[in-house]
Amino acid sequence: MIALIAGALDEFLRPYEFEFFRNGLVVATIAGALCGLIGCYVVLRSMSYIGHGLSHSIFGGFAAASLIGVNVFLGAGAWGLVTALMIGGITRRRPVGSDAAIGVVTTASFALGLALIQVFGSPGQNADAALFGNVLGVSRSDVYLIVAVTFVTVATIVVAYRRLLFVTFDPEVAEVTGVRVAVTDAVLMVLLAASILVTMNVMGVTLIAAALVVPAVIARLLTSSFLRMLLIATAVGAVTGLVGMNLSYHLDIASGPTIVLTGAALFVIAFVASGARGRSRLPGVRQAL
Amino acid sequence: MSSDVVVRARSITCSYGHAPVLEDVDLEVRRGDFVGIVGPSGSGKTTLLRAISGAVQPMTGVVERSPGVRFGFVPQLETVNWDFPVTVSECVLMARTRPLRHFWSTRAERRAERDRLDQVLDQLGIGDLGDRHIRALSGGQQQRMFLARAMMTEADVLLLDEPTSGLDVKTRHEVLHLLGELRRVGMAIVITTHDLNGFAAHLPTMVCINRRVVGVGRPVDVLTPEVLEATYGSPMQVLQHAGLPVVIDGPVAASLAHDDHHHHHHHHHSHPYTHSHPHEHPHTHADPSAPDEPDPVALGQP
Repeated sequence: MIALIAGALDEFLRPYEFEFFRNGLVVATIAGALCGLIGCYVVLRSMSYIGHGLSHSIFGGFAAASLIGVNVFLGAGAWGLVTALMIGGITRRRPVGSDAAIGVVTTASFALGLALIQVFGSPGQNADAALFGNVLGVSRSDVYLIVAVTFVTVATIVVAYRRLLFVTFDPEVAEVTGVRVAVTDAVLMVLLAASILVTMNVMGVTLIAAALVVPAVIARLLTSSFLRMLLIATAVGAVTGLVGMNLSYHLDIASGPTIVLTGAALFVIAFVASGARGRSRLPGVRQAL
Repeated sequence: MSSDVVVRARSITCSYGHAPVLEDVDLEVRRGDFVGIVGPSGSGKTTLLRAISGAVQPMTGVVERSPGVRFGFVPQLETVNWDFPVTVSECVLMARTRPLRHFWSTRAERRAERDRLDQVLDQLGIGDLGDRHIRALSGGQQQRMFLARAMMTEADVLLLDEPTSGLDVKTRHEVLHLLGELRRVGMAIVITTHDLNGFAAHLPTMVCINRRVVGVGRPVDVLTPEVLEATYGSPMQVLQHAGLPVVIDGPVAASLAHDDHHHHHHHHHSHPYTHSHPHEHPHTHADPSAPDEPDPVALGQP
């Protein structure tokens, strides 16, 4: 019996011997927490489609940057920033069919990325990692980068907590009361773009939207307080990343799908456990789903 | 501008597209003013509130604000996202932002803010509801929650969009009294309302607008058939009750006028409208609490 437990423990700890796994684990956990945190704003502002589009758009910048030999993060980051601010501008003016405009901009960018890769060849496994999420590409510098973005995001949310809440809850009244809504929106879009950029390697472009949405929805099931929702979503995101990464190794499935499936499983548990009370809270996020 | 004037609109014209929503509007608000803006739907009431605060920029004309003036805004309850995950305390505190360079508050400041929050919530009678979700409150409590939010920001000018809609008569009177108290401590209050008799007629100052300012002044001066017809585009009758004007809209007014002219042609009791005796405020729909009307003196100019 003891030998059995020891064997299981040994099997469980084996991947921790590898530096790539340890790096991947740290990045996945932080990425999950970061996406969970910023995802609360995404979900509550019914912006999950924007998150989805933005990640696809950033992939285009990613492919273009790696082909012309610019630093991938700088190139894709600049591209993502421009798209983010463009999307922000489109949504703020709210013309009829802003969803369609976002869809055109972001899918065109994604398609451009795919086309560039097909014509000029894949710039290595980076493109695969960006599409589906893979920890093998995660290096020490990736860890530093995601830590830096997380630090800036958390610091911004702490400093501008009430502004961000006010603008998310009721932008019109926030404007009247003297909050600079356009600036606050732009800050949030930049944070979102940066978060997507640094988590792309772990989650994969196609699955980042889920990493943004699922922890926030789970948190919403469990609380009606904004602060508690931020904390729960961050924790859920971190746990999802941690558990998902371990499962990814043992099941030999890419990190992105495993993390998202782990999140989905947690959602089912939270949905059942929170009962009717939790479900009554869902109208607030139904639009986001 | 005179030291008492907190905000002054000078011939402002506002539009969201082509046709102006407001045209050539002047409005002056002083410390301690209590101004009711009335007008039909789409007459630019809400736009005027937003222009005063600076959320809408006028195309022509200017809005002058005294330096450092703070605005509090109480939205129409129907426009609020009640499914949003936010507790009453969180909602009341969200407008209390600090300059970014002073983002870090000391322990003493946080305690002072907490005490102030408890004090304001107690004052408004929602002291033990701070941890509730905003949807768990009644309409009147929700209204008071937004008042608390404005009070926490130490607003100089309180703007309220339709604060009486969806509230029962008793709650409406409570809100009116609360606003009267806020005004007495120097806040200027500007509201929009559809409720001429139950609310606007009790205020010291009224503004009738329909894209342009049709009338401005004391209700007793402004609530005339001429001004009302120019504002609403349909004939209305004005009666007097206990020193307050009472507006009766079209068909009722016509039938009462008819009765007045042809003395007792038919008996009052036989007429479908005669139960709406002037003393019962026919326009305040089935208002059973006419004796409970707010005291006009308490709200009048000092």
